[in-house]
Amino acid sequence: MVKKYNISASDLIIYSSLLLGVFLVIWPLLNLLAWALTPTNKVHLLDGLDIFPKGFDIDVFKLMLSNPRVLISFTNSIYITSIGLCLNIFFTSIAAYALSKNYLPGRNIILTIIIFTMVFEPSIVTEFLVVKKIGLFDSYWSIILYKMVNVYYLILMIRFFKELPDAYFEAAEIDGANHFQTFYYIVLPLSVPAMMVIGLFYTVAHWNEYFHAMIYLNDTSKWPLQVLLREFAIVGDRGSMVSYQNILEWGDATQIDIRRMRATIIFITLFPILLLFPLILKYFTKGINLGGIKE
Amino acid sequence: MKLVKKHFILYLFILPTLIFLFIFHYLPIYESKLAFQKYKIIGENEWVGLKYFKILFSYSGFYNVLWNTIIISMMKIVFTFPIPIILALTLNEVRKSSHRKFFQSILYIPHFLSWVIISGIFISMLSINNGAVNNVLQMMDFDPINFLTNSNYVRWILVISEIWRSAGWDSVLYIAAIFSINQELYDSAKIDGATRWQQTIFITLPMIVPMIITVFILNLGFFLSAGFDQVFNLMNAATLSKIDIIDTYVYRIGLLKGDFSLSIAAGLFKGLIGFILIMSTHFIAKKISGRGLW
Repeated sequence: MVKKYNISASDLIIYSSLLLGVFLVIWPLLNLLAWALTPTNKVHLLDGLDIFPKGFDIDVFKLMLSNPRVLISFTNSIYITSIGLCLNIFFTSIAAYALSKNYLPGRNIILTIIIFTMVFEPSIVTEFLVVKKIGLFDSYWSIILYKMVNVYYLILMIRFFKELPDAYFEAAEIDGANHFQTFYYIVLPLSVPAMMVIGLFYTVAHWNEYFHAMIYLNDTSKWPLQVLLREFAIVGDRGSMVSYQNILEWGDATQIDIRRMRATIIFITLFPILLLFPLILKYFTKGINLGGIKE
Repeated sequence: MKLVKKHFILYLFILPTLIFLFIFHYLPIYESKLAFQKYKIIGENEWVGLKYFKILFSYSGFYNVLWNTIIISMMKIVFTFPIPIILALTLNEVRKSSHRKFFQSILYIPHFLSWVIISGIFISMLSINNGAVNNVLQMMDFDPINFLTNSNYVRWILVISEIWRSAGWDSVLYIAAIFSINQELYDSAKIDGATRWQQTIFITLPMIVPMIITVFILNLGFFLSAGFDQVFNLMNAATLSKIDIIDTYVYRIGLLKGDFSLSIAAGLFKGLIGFILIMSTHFIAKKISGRGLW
């Protein structure tokens, strides 16, 4: 049944205000891309409002991606994100599975211990002192482990597991399956969408990590991309954007507009998130039914 | 006891999480004792009681930080909080679901970008030298403004960048609430001749009030946080005095100046107030709407 609506004045207002919102989100991103792609000799023609590049030149992308610091940081980010993600999914889901069993003696005490960490936050300074004491300072593990289990996502998973039909578990018990088998053969296949949702959120959190990496990683060759981006785009250090190795190859690197370099590094950093975005949309529409997500 | 033995394996499932929480949450809480001690590099720390709290509260700079935190949180509640509600109501009026999904998808994007990226984008947009906002101002014959170093504007930049980042995503909860409204209410309103505007004001809005109250109360619980990552990345020497919040203060005096005891005292103060706020808001929210933080 296709129903044709007449376009009324209120439709016009609704569409134009939403289009304005979409425009305000997209336009700064396109403006950045325009800066990144406009050739250096035409950059003076470019306005702060332009969303189309004047001409097309990917020289800054090449320059940035040939900078060893960018490449190392990119690899670090991928490394931290993938290892972190595996640990996140594994430990969150097994703990959530166990905590979804109402009959487990001591469950409420354990839940209280877990929830207390949500309401009382120790300051970053004490966390720093602990990381130093246990010898994780300047190690990738510090930033992987400090967010091994997110309590919000853990609770989300507990709720999800509780909603799985009891019949499955009863059948498994009759067949003599132990908890390992039940988890592996029954729970895992049923919870792929839920795990995708929390997995995507964990991925984004790891990829966007900068602050803990900044204070826990002294060695700049261990920095993830976000910390390097901060150095380039916010602290604004031109020298570090063009490495010494690059200067030999890129004699005219000093001629490149600093704004083009900033725009490019921002784009390199946000590109993986844009790649994930369709997946986020796809699974989140399923995941929203899992219960409210705050954050 | 038999149950414990039977499900022993389940405890093993939880153990890694408990060890993690012990190391990264409970040990730091234990380490907060340093707020009552004088930190010594060699030898035992010396207990000094409330000395550092007294120093903190006799220091006028701390009141400035506290005030900044409160005013920034207030501004965000007044100006940022209503936007996702209005957005959800507007999105609900888009009748074609493919159009609505398109709008939603785009508006969600900024939530997934880090504050480092968003600050980079805002710094470029607000730049005095060919930045988008100043170009618009010049088109309208205004003098350009150096927003990034102007302490009069910096709090508004926090509010606007917060809206830019989270308005779309924060509307998700309200949209879910709108979707669960019983369709019959609208049908009978239509029979009574209610216009779309009347339906929004007299049906949709009242029906999502419980959700609005819940989100509002839960936001209050995080009142003293005021957005560390945002402030940290948009702050500079010129604007520090206007947007230095408790968390940035703790970071600066603790990790940059190395004054551990004083900074942990400030952090503990924030943690305790936060604890009271979160606990009370949780129970209020639970009482009003049956839905708390957990």
